[in-house]
Amino acid sequence: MTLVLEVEYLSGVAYAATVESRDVADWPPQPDRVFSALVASWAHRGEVEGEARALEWLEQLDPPVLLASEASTRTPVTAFVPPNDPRSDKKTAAVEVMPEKRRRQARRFPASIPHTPMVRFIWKDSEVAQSLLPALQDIARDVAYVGHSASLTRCRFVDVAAGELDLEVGSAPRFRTTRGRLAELRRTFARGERPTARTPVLPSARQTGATASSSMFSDNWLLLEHAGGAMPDLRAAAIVSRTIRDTLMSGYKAKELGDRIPEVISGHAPDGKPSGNPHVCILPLPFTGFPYADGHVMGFGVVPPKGSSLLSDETFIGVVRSLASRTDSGSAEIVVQIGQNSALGKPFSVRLAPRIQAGPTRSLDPQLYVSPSTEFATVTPIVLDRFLKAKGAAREQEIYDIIAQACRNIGLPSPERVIADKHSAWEGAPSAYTSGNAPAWQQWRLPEFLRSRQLTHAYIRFAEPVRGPVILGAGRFVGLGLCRPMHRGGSPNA
Amino acid sequence: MQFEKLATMVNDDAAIRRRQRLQPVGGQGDKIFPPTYPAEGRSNIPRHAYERRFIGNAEVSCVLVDSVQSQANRLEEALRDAIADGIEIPHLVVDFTSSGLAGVSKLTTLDTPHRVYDAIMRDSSLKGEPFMQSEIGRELAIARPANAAALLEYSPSALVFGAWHSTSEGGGLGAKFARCLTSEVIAVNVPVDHSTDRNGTPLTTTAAQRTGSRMDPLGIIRKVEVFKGEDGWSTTQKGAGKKAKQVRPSEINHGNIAPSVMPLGITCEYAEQMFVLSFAALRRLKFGSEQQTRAGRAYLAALGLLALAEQDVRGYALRSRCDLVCDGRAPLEIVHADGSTNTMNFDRKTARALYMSALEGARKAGFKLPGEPLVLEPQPKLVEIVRRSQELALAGAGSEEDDNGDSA
Repeated sequence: MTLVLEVEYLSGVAYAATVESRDVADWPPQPDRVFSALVASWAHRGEVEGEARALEWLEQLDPPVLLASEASTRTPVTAFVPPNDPRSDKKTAAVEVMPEKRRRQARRFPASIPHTPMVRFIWKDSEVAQSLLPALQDIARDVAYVGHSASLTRCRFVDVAAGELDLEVGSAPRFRTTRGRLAELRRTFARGERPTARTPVLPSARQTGATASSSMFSDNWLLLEHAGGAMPDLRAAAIVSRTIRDTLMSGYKAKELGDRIPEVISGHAPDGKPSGNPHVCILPLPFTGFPYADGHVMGFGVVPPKGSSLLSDETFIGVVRSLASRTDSGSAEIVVQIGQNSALGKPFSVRLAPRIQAGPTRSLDPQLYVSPSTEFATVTPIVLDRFLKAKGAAREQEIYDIIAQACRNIGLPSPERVIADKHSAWEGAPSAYTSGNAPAWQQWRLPEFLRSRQLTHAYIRFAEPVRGPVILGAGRFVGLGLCRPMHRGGSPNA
Repeated sequence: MQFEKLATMVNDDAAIRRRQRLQPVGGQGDKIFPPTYPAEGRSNIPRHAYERRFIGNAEVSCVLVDSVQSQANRLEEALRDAIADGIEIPHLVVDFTSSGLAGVSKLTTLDTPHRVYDAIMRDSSLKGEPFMQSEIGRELAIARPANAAALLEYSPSALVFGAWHSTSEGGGLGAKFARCLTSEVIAVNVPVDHSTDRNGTPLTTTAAQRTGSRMDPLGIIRKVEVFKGEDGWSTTQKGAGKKAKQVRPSEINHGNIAPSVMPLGITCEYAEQMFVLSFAALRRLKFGSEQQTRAGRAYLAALGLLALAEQDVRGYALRSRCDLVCDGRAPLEIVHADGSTNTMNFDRKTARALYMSALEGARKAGFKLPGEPLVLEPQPKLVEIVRRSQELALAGAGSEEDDNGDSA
């Protein structure tokens, strides 16, 4: 059987704006937007527990196929609406309390006019339990609108036999829900905040139709989610990365395995010299690339080389367990002590909760960084392997050469195009360097071995899709030069 | 249809919808002037809101004639007229008549931009007590969709058209009620021209033209020296007062205005009003017991249909040179949960009878729904600022005219 959600726009107009721009009409409605409407209906119905179970079942399904017609958009015009702010006890503008005197504020109401006002979301081969379908039907029946409140809708779940609908004419959605979305919406609502950013549907290698080249790094990470303590700014994350590595090494020493710290962690050969083999990268995982992103560090990822068995190594697992202490709530946290010599001022500590699987927090999902793409943009700036000497147009060529070499150094082909810039393409990511009389604390803090190196952000395009993580340059092992794939059908902020 | 049947429909069905054709009062093909909106980019020519719709098997050009927000205001005006006709609809009135202000008598919750939560209500008093601090005011402030009885009893139109207590404590986290109905008017099959701007962006403009000019009967020419300052205008700089500067006669409303021709105004095959009353939206509202909730929802549905019928009779005089009337009488469509529809005939007589039946049913369920409005007095500070504003206007300080765009 196939689960289908019908959404009929009763007036034939869909008022909704895209994430990227509040002025641009959004069509067709995406599964996550409709899910939010279902959650709103559930809330108005009294937050019935059985209905919550049905939504939790729905949220974790694979993205549905969309059956939606084309739509035209209404001319994006600016309307002027009277606000309710004026106060007659204020000396200035008090008269604006009166309707005819009220200053108008500019507003836009982006609208799509679909050729057919019915959209269907189809979860093929989804076996919905008989106990859940009535709950979903009750919730859908009470959905008043999808998008703006002027988009009144009729919604209905139906369970249809396979083959009743032609899925060939459907399309893949751009956004989806993931496990935990209902809980996330409840949390943000309780705090009086807007929902967190949407989850894009990332293209699989099958969808891109290509076998992507991949970097030398694994796509299987140990995640360290920030659990407590003041987390430094992203610009100091390289120092924290290095300290995390030192902490892991201290775990081996505490277990009297100091002479058997794996080369893949220490980065040094048994004779103490720098290792010529790949070793772990410890990456900051910041909140970037989403609307209202501010670049704060939400955790770290310990990224082994591809093919490494580190994360399944019993000794390593034992070290991590020994470093993690249980909190009152039962969760495990590793305390990372950043000492006085770290160049970050007074000693302090941060607590990090280790886990293997990504949870609902998208910024901590390795998929943000490993999915195949032809285009990448830096989240943290690349530390150039050598100083730039050329000027003008020759300098652009020199930058391309350095970054192209950095790509080859991690097993990727030379890129087709590189655009270097002071700024990142991702919202919330700090610039590569400050200008003018900006205070010193706004500069990137680098470990001693990287001091005085030049930094740059970059946009990188490959001729064929490559699979991440893409981490480039001399600072890659401490998380500098971390690149994130850009997926068309959205901006960097999708 | 009676109250009980309506209550069952609200409980079981999805919505009531109506597509009503309209034509200009001057007859089919007469030119009408939909709202204009500010130009974008470097153009200084205001524009209409265009869209394309699939009707039958063809894609046709359409123009927005009255927006959802504007139609809500007109439906409220229609209800206000029904009240004047003797129909009992609970509402609040702020009575300025004893304030001695020229041209301001009474403002109702059907007139104020933010309805019952408007700043005018907040700055008025009920029996000497600031309204929002009174018992009724506090009930309105704490009302929520899960317990909306206070709004139902004193300002049910706010539940039909939507309201938000945006100035409550907590900075906008106050009572919020989404609309339960939408109405929108578009003109269908409008002759348009397509072009591109200097950036290659496609542009759509109406194929119609609007002309404008003024011939001054006094023959005042442009070169005449005129000065405008704090004391008004004069033929001398000193005479105009402080900050006087030389202006053209047209800036003091004299002289000729050169003829202009702009792509504004439209003709169309017909206009269509699309009205939707959502039962799903009504089902979000609760009013106490199950019986009271059922009665309250049905009452609101009847109120929405009453507004529609009253507007039909009033006509659709939307703005200057944009008068429309119903072309025939379209039935209501009852949209069932599975998308199937049934039709039902509808006119003002039916709507009023249904409304009275629903009003009675809601009162039997225990709601007050007073027949007389709740009268508030404007607070002295509110009266004072209106008076000062009128004095400034008479002195020539002027008000801000905004005849562009569509207002909510």
